[in-house]
Amino acid sequence: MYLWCSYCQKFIGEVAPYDQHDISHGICKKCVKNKVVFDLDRIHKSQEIANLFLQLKEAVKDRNFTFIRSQYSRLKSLSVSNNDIFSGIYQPLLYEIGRLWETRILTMAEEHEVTSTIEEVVSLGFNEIPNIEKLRNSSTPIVLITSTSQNQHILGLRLLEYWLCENGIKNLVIVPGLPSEEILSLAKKFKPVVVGLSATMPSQELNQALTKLVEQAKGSRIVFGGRFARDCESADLPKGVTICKNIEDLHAVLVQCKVMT
Amino acid sequence: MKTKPTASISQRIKKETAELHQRAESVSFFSELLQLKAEKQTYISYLRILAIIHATLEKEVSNSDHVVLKTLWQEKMRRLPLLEEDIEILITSKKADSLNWTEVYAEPDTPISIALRLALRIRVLSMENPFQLLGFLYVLEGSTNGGIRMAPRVTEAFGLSGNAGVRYLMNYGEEQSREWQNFKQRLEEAVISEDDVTAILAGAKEMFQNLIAVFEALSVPTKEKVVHASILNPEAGSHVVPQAGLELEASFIVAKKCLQALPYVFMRYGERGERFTKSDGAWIITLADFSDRVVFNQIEWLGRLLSVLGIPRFTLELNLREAAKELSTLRPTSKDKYAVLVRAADLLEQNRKDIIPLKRQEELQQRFLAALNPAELETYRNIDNILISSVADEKMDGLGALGKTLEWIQEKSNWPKNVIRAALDLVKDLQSTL
Repeated sequence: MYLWCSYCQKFIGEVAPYDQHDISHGICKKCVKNKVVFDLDRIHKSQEIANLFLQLKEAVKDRNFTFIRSQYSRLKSLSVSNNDIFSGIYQPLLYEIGRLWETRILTMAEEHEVTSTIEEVVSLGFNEIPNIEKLRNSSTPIVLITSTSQNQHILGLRLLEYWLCENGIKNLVIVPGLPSEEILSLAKKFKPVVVGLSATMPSQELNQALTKLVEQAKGSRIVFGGRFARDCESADLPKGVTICKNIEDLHAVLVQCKVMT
Repeated sequence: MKTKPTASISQRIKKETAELHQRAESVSFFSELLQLKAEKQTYISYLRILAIIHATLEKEVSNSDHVVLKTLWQEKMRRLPLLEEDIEILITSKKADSLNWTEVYAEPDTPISIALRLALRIRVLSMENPFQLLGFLYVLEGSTNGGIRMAPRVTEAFGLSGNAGVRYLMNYGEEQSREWQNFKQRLEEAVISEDDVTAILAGAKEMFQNLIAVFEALSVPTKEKVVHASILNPEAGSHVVPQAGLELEASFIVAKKCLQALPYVFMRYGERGERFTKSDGAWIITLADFSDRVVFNQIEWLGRLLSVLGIPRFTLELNLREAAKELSTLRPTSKDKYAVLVRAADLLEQNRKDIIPLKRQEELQQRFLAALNPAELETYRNIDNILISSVADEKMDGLGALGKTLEWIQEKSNWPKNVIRAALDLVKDLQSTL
């Protein structure tokens, strides 16, 4: 479930059950601290966000690409930030799209079309970030993210790239994936604080890439995310790799590494 | 506003793609082939890449509801089986050179990636602009003109005889010229507007550009090669498969055994079913490197995915057991590693028993088998297990796959009446007690 604050309309984070891609409402720590008063306007906005998510899910099923595109401006009109839109609406929608493909409600081509539509929306968001050219595709990245060569999915990493830029973190996100030797060579070249790999499925190539990074990219913290990360535990991966099941986990790592506060 | 095209469509395509056509033919891969200098492996790569493109295009066009595509498409245009036949002949002779399975199946990344991107593009166009696919089809049909001229050189270059290994190039044989004229005629008759022609032209150009990119990539010698899922099955896309020769070999043996034990797969899904048994089975083998938790999660995921398509979890269970058995025989020292596949199969079996107790399964199986004559027992091997598993899957997933399977049995299976009756009775009896 994806928890939003009913008071300030900010995305709080994921809560159990993690395989249920729906929106729920609560209150964030900031609003508790500030003793924000709940009023009708806030109720309406919360309802609208929840309804909009349901409508987007239907639009995905109906392959209504125009609707999917148009809802970005509707969310913006509710004063919801891009980060919250992408992490709290489009990321869950992405999991829903995966589920619809798995149950053959969407074909592979339709899945591709829907994700391309969302990618278009995300690319609009990048243009709104001040100094984006200094943060994105950085030649001195603090965070380097990519995936192994068999991974073709790119939207999840684009959303992550947006989140990093929005938080002012210089990054290099490379999609689609790379062979493990190239990943290691990039890690050695740039020496980022965090190197992240993403994968949808287990593979020897993934384990080899992670092992090489842990052993040879000494100064970097190695993290692993993506769909497969949601299903695995530390024991399933080479020692020294931190699993990030969601954006909050990555945030925690970046705080530990003093990249974020 | 739609306006009627004014000139012959095929003439216009020919004229507007002349430069691209010439560029495609002048790529060094072709000149080397014609000068008998090409490597056999490069020619195999060429056929494998064409197989990825043909597999997707032929599936999308032959299944399309689009009226013009339906008019244009004829079953004899299907060339994937010819490609597969040629590849099989060429790799058999290559294997005879004492290469291991990895050496026979590994391919460079770049041309495969281009072909996979093109395959995705074909799928998208089948939804967005099917007319553009006519341009793709035009280029591939048109290639039969050059193919018939190339075939003798290929035969000579690789020491082949007759049509063996060049069936793809010789597709229509002596009828080639007539078939090409017929195709162009059908195209002229089917296309009604200038907009359609514009889309077909765009498709033809796009196809040429992609083929040029593939041929150029094939012309670059590369040492870095990997075994791609799309080589085992041109429709498999991109997923992990074993890279080690013995595991690869095991995956072929396992696929063969599973298909023998499960005639249902071929009955319902034909050669596509066979191909996916091969590539899915290869992926399953790669799981043996991981912990029980990872394997169980992945098997649960694949089980649901296949069950939705009408391939119940029993097929997966059988595949896992056969894989563990075969791998343990080929690599006895790694027997413990492969035991995880048996544990995953046990889990699937237990899940089914939790829904349908074993005793109940056995009662229903006995009744089903009693309704079949001795010859049918072989022909319809494991259909009882497939049906029981389908009912259990439906109970677990509730995604309507059972209904589609029953519909297929009644309307499309061509099974004898007694077998259909026994199958429907089994499901009905089972459902009444769940």
